[in-house]
Amino acid sequence: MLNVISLILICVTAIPALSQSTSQYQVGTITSVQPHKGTAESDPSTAGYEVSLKIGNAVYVVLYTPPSGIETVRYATGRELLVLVGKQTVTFNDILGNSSEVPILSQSATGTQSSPTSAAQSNNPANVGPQQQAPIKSTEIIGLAGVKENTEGTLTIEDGKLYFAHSGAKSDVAVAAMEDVVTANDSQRAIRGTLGTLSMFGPYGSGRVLSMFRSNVDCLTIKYRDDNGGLHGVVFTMPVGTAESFKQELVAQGAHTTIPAPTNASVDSSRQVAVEAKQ
Amino acid sequence: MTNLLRIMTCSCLFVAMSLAGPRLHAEGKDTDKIKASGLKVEMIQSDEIKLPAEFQVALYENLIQQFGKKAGFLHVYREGDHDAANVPELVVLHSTVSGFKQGSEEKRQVTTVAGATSITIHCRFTDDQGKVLLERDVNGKVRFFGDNLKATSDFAKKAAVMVSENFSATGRS
Repeated sequence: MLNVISLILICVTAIPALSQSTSQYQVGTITSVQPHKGTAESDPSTAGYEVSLKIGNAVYVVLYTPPSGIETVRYATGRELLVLVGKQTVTFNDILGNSSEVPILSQSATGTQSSPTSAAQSNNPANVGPQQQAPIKSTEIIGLAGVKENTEGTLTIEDGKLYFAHSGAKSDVAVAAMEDVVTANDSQRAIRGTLGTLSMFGPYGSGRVLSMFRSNVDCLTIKYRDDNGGLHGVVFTMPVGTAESFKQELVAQGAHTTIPAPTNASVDSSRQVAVEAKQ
Repeated sequence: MTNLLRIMTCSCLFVAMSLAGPRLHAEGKDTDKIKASGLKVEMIQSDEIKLPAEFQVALYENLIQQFGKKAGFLHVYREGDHDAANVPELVVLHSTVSGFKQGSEEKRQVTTVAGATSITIHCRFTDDQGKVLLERDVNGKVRFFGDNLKATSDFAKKAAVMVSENFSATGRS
């Protein structure tokens, strides 16, 4: 009798494990957040956001409608979170552990044209073109003529030119003049600038702890010629997962690169160096 | 009265020598400097030691910026600039990476002693005929504060000082 009860108990214990879904949570990175035009036009009070999630080699654009009054999603670019990808939805857990499910608007492999998966996309002109044409928040580290170092702005590609818009001004570089476009990965401190430097002197090593909070960024390095033939170089940083698609858009419009066919979306410099060495 | 006159004379002589000495010394040094009217900066080469592209570009751009600030007596040209073709007494800077150690900003800030980034560049200044005028190794480092690319700025500052110490503008006495 005791054996039978034990066997039943073991079976009952095993049932939840067997009934678990075979799907697994993956780490996704938010690469951009754009207001969802359709929702904003119909009812501004319930504004939704098109959140681009890079999961592995795929980029999913999901429609996220935040709870009323909470707009923190607008600043979530670069954030990593655990997600479960379904057929039509993506499930994620918020910081309180509450599970939320959001619909997938479009899905694309990195570096390819986006393919519509729902009717919502056909109604949204923002999703018709390649995703990388949308303005990307970026920081110019060095090299752009007339722009101070570490200037924040947005990068766009329009009419065969790369535009960097910053504090009311706009600098441009002709895509055809680009001799080399290279991407890389890096990380930066979560707290930067003067505050970041001052935090180093925090008591009891708190500054050192703060410096361990870092966010990943992509680097985009461009070499180009001016009208006089002079060689220039410019380095941008941008949210993780965006540089490679941006590079491919530049190449598609006529820019040259020494790394024409990356095997992975997040190609780091050391890998590029290895590829060059093999060639 | 006589003593006062002597003291004043000595003081005047001392002041005059103090002021004239460095000036004469500087003029003497100036005659030793290499005459140039322009400086063309070539892109940093890293054939043997592979350097990430962002470092290569940051080195090049920082060099041009620093030469403009600290060696303003020379007109600075970029690689490939057509205007540099007809410049007499043009000096060309060829830079080759001879050492590179990419550290970590995080390590630097957490440990203070580890994670330094260091770049050593062999700088070769030639005339337009290719004759070597000056050769030096210049080092750029970031030890404590700042990101890794700050090492490129450190290198460029040192290279600009070297240029201002070793070159002078053509026609300057």
